[in-house]
Amino acid sequence: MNDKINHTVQRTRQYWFSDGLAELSVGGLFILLAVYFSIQAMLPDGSTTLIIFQLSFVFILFGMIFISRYILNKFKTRITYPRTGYISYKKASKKQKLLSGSFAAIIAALPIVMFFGTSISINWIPIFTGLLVGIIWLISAIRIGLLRLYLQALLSLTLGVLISLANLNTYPSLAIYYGVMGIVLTLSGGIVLAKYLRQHPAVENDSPA
Amino acid sequence: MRLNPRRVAEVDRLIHEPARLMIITILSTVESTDFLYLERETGLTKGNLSSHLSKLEAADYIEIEKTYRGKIPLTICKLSEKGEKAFLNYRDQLKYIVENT
Repeated sequence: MNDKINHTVQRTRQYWFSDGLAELSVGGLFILLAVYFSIQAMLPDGSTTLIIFQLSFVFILFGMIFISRYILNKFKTRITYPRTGYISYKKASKKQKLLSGSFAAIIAALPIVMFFGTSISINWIPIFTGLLVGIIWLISAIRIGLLRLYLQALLSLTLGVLISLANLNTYPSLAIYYGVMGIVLTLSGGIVLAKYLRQHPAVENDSPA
Repeated sequence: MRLNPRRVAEVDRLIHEPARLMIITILSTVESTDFLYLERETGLTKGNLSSHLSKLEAADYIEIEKTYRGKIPLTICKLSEKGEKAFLNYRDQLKYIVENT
């Protein structure tokens, strides 16, 4: 009986990822980050534009997160809820809020490290980013129990290590890391969404008259 | 440890019924959900699901809100505080029975 309860709990948690929209949203965010770091890689060292770009990263990152969450909710309302139903998940606990806040703060702090850091610490940024994203992804995978999330966590870690070993400059490294992760997540989300749409045609009404 | 038959008899039968147990379990995982999601996940017919929801609502285990999404009627279900306590108690009772048999 307890197994049945645990299975139902896990299925309910997996529902958020059943349509692929969450991965598409994070994938889109990562692609935008790749574009951001690519632009930085093209700007000349010490230029005013580069400094403004680096210092405005916190606002750009939080703006991107806010917009991607807004778009995700709009798509869920339009695509998922009319087909397979609406779920409002429990609000994040203080511990979860602290964890996700710390994650965003660390990512946001990376350009400042690049701005002031030594070349040794800068070389470790891609592997550190890969590890950080990989750990967050792994925690989600364990909690939700989806194989593709485990694979994405593994990819993040492997990519971070490989890019660090390639000894590229920091901006191209981060652009490659976020670009590859973004493309993989977008593809994965796209495939899941296509399968979801095939399996679940739109439903007109949700409850008995 | 010996199993106390009284505790077995005390198991909440309203929750113990498989379909209602599934409904309560889903509701314990989320803040709220709609009729469509419950219908799909439980595999019950609309009538059957309505009947189970009515029983749970009558016991004050869940709260049901009827609203609209655009022009489409929407039935939102939420586990009440009483329902949450009853479900936790049910799980404890179940654990006790499993550990003592």
